[in-house]
Amino acid sequence: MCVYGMTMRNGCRKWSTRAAEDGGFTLPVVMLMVFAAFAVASAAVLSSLSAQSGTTRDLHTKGALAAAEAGAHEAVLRYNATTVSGGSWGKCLPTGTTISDGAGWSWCPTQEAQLPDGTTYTYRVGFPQPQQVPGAPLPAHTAQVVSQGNSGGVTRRVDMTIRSASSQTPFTSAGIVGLNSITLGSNVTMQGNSATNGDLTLSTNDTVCGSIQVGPGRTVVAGPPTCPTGTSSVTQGTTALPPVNQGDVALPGQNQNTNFFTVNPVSPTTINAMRRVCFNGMNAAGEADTTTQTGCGARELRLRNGAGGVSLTLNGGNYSLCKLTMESGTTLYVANGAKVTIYFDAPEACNYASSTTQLSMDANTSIQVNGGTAQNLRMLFVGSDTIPTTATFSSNTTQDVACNQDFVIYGPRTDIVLASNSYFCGALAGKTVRTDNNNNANVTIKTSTEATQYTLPGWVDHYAIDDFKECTGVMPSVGSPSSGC
Amino acid sequence: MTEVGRHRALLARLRSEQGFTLAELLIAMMLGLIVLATAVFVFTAGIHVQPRIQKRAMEIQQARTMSERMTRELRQGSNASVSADASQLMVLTYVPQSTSCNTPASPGSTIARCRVFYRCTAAGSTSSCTRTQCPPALLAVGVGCSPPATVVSGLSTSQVFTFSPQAPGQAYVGVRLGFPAENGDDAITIQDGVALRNPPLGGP
Repeated sequence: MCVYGMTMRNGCRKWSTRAAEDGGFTLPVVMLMVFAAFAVASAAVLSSLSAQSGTTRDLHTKGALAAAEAGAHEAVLRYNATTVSGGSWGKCLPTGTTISDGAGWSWCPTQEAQLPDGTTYTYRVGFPQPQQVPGAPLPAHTAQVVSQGNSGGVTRRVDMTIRSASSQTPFTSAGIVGLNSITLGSNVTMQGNSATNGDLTLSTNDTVCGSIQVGPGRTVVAGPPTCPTGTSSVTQGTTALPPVNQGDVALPGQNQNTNFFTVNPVSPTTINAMRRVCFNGMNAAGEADTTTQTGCGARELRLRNGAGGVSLTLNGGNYSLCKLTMESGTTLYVANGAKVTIYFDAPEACNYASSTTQLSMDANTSIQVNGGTAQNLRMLFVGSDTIPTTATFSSNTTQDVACNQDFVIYGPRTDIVLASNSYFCGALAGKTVRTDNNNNANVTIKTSTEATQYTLPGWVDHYAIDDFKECTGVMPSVGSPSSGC
Repeated sequence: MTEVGRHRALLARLRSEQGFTLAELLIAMMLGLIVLATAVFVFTAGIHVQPRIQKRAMEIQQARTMSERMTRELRQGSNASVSADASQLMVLTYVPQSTSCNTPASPGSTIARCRVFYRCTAAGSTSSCTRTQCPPALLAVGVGCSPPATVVSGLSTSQVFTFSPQAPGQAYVGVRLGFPAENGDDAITIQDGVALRNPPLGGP
């Protein structure tokens, strides 16, 4: 810019010279502004970093927890998927030697791994030592997995108790177990110790004898229970039933499903009667029959009514069924001295897409155990977490009237329904146990000593999560890894 | 330029009395004052809104802590249930305790199962939530429970919890803590959720 009064040449030269210099007010002002801007920017950056540190830590916390759980689940998967001679319980996978923590547990060596996102986990598997500590902390075929995850320096630790049904004695403290609830209609007699994690609901004229354990915070609805012939007591506690594992029984050649109807005969032997008993799409007369009216599907055993009441005698062994249907007037016998275990496979394995009654005993049907020693008939239901399954005993059904044998029904994921005038003696465990809720259910449920001593088969362990909790602090390098859990 | 010439030029500049003119200094000071005044204005305004911002930050931090605590309790819990109006949560879970569920935990406390209740209620234009710890046998807050402790406040609604049954016996519980927009700030929502890891112990 040129100023009036100056010659064009001098004025412009002077201003252009000044503009080219570093002197003047430009530098201090610009420096001040730069300084101010820098201060503001620094404050903003510090504030942002401070705010983000919490978010970053949250992310690392979740990452560490996810890693810890991944480690624990890897341990469970390893034990469920690895076939070990003599069973995997009490052994380290991969191989290693357990070390006692002096508190009743033996711990396998540390296993470590890194996940693709850079988080790491460390886990140890422990087994209780019942032989070393009186009042063992947990029964055999129970294990504890303590897993620690680390993400960006943040550590989280979880403790999972896993349990297998193998060789467990589920009826030791109670012979009648409804995992979620027990609901009785009127005029029901229940004799023997019972347990539920929910409520025991009574109706009029019910007789309930023995110790009753309801869940924490639960109660005996319409109680107190009465027992004219003895005593009854109510406590609160928790009950766990490990899921059924049928081991290899479902595999062809590993069961006695082929014994129908040769080793396991039908009576009477008339052609009309033979056509009324069907297994796996084939009736006892040797004819294929998969029709809904008279036949049966894959691994379905069906006894139809008529022909004077057909019966089928089981001569021992393990069976893997999808469904057992007994229509009115039919009888299922267990031969004298024979031991029979019937597994009801998971509904998913049977291609049942929706709620299914896997054991159906219509009115006036009967399962009878003829003589023999204890533990003659066990019905074990694998069940499902997603597809409801039911075992239904309709009116006037009887199971072992003499009540001098073991008759075990074990289905921790199956609902058990006993209709009016049905009679059961043995040991019974289901997800829920309920009787008819009509005005006169007249159901009798008794426990027998032999049945309550029943031990589930010692198949290959298949562990399910029984308990989960988070721990405080890091995993100790010495002593019990579960310290702080 | 030779070495001698460079030395002379430096000496000449050092001897020179040339500096900022008065006009330059006045303009620089004036501009500096404008910048300073702006900074002071911004700083003063910051001081004035700081308590409000701090309160909101504290509420949000409180909400984050509560969210973290709740998800932890839900994760290792079972038997969770949420009231129909989504303002109450009950869960049976592991918590540190001294001697019983209604005594405060101390360092070295063991953990045990207790029943924990969260209740969110409206108070004026905002809502707050309390936490109560009870023995597992209790299905409602009553005798034997700890006093309710306020764990979060300033919420825009008391409808905090969502409950989604999954497979039988399993559930996913969501937690949504919303803070209203106020004084030009945006509304803030902290949302989390967790699937219960423990199998149910019967009942709902």
